[in-house]
Amino acid sequence: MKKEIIANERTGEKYTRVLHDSGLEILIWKMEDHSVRHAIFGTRYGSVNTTFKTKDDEDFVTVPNGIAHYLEHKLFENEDTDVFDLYAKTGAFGNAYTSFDKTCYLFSCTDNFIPSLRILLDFVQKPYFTEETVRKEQGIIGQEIRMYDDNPNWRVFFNMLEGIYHENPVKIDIAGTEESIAKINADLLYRCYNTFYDLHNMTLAIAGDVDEEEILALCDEMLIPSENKELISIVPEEPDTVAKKYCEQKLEVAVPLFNLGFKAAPVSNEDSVRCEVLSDIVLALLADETSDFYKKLYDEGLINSTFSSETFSGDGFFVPLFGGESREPEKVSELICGEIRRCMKEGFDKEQFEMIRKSYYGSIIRSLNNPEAVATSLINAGLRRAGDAFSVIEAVASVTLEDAEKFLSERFDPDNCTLSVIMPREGE
Amino acid sequence: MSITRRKKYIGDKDRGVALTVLTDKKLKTNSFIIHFINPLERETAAASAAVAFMLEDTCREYPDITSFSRRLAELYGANIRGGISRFSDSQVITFSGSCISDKYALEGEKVSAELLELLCGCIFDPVTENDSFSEKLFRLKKQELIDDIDADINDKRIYALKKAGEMIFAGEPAGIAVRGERADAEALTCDMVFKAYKKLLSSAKIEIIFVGCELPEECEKMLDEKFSALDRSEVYLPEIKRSPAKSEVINETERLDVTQSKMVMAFKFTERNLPVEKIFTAVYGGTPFSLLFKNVREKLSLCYYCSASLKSKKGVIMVDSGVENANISAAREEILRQLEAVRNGDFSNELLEDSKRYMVSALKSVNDTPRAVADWYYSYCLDSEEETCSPEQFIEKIEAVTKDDVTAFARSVTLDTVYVLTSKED
Repeated sequence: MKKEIIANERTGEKYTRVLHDSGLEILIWKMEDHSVRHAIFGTRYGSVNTTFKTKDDEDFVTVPNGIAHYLEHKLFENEDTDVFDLYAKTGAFGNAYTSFDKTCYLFSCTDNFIPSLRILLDFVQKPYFTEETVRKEQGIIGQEIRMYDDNPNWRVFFNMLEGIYHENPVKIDIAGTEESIAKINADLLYRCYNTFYDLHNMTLAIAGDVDEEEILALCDEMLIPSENKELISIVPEEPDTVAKKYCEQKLEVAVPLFNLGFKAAPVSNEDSVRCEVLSDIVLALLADETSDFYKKLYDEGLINSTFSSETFSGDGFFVPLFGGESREPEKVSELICGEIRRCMKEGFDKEQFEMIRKSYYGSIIRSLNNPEAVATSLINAGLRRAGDAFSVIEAVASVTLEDAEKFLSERFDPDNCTLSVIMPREGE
Repeated sequence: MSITRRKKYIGDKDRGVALTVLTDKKLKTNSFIIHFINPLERETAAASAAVAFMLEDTCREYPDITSFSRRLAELYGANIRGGISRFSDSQVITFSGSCISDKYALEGEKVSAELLELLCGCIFDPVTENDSFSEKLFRLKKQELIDDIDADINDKRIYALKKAGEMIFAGEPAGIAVRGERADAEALTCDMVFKAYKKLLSSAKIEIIFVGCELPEECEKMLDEKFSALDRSEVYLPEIKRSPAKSEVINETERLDVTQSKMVMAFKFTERNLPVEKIFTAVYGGTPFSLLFKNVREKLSLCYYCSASLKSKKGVIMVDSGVENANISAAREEILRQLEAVRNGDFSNELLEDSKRYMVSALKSVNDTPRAVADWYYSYCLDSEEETCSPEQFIEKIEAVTKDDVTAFARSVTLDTVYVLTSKED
């Protein structure tokens, strides 16, 4: 077992990182005086990881979309009981989620932390499915997929991804499609489980008023040592240019919704934090409420306060995007692209840059307010396999205006973006 | 772990302005939440709602969104928001501001006092011209209000709950659209909104809540000065009234272009016993091991979600579900069958104990989240000091609930309204 303290001078905060003999990375951030204790057990396995090989495989294998999410559902069910029933005995709130590049199982509790952690470590390491239990889940997951068909915010985003990407599985709904989940069976689930739930591919993150020794003793008892399978997961070759520049769908909405995403080259794990911070700052410089450009769009009634931006990035994808409601999405899109070209030529405003950086710093401090947010920052840092939980705050402190300008010219190509629009149904 | 609480009135008690101070050293943020509690009436709802939009991102000193936002960014990304919500039969217009606590400021700035000054600027010193709001800003904000009302349809679950609410509370203020109807918003004029703004300052019941690391002295002084200078008259006194049960169940179906249906079933009760109401709701459908979750979702796969929630002040429990079109009547039957099971005591002691534990855990977490602790005490704002209960005191009441309490309560609950949102073709 290897143990180190990760400390940060800027905030005066610290946490412990343990590389357990089983292969698992364990991150513990002690937060005294908080009643809530939060734990997250995560694996680097999300909806995009459909093509992979381990040292036992001769060649890469590609599996149907939606398995990571399907596995998450099935692990929540033990052979004889349901995980919610187990947590009911300790008073913990359990949950799980699957994203594009990770699957996380979590709980928060006020009492019985160690018994709750025992439940978490046990069920995630103990898969149990039969053909029958796998078939039964198809109904519920099918309903979940259909539920999102009625959600215009979800649709506008995925339609944009389908426009941006030709091959990357990030464009497929995390839960898969009704066709793809029909192909999932117990064998495939076991195969993916054994590949991605290798402890070397996972992290356990804990925050709250907890006892480190107790946690590590429980880990010694519960963790099943695994052999490093040297997993490699790849995304298919992807052209640099977007597949479609415009996509439109009609749904039950009153005002059109839009997402405008820029196809940028994916970044390595080492560069990911710095690039995400730079992307967020560039998005804010271009068009957040502190920019003159936002005021122009707003005063002309082209956008309303739903207008926002985000950096959508992860294993093999990187998309800075704007979105919101607009009666004239194409005009907003043209103006944004025009503003990007202007800023590429004229540069950004130094004063606004410093203001945005200060604001970003404040938002990080605020996020340290509760164990759930802290545990989330730990799991993100752990599964990234680069840097630490303070990398974000350090990146915010170190980036310069010149970095932001360079980032803009390299990764916001106005000729390589996709506009996705949800229009109201006609005659309504 | 330990929240310190004190409450005082600014000026005489009958001026209706109260300040609650909640402090805990472990918190890294300071938040000011100012609620204006106001009668909910069809004639004025849209105008008062528009006030929330009008004031939230400008003031005389920072008269446009760019300068205002830049000021917030300078205050380490502090935020100020306007909000519109319900409190039983009342409409509430809320302005809140939140920032990092002063000790994290890199250059010793008094962030909290500066933020409060900005927030007070929004409320007391807005951009005006000719004794009204700026007409140009008004036009933009009116459109925002209309867009906000229109956007309800984007989330079908929220839309279904809103439409169901109109039927459940028909004839009561709680059944009135909280931001007014679209037509009301369209008919607004700048003067109507300015009048509503003046009325909020003079007559709304005002609840100010501070929650954070520490309330700086200069902040309390500023609140005292600003709010005691207000000219107050005819101060609104909200009433809490249970919603009367209908003589027969109302069934309503609405058809839209959707692939999946939503069903909201509302039950009413008259008994008043908050801990029992909460435990009943948890046992029936408030947790992932409740009867509804286990049977309707997990065992029978009838709904993707199906959960019960409590509106205690109105005496209503809502069961809201996402259901496949073909399963609507089966889901309805099963939801009623599970209620029957609670009435007959046909559930395990284990479920009762698990539900209590779940609730206790939630109560113990309240003090960890600034907004949750602020909302906790806000919910008691009409109650006397004796009736006001801390989360810790409420835990004792939860522990004391028995199975008989729950079954007796379940027998007093009656089905009132069923609203279904479904697709255009069967």
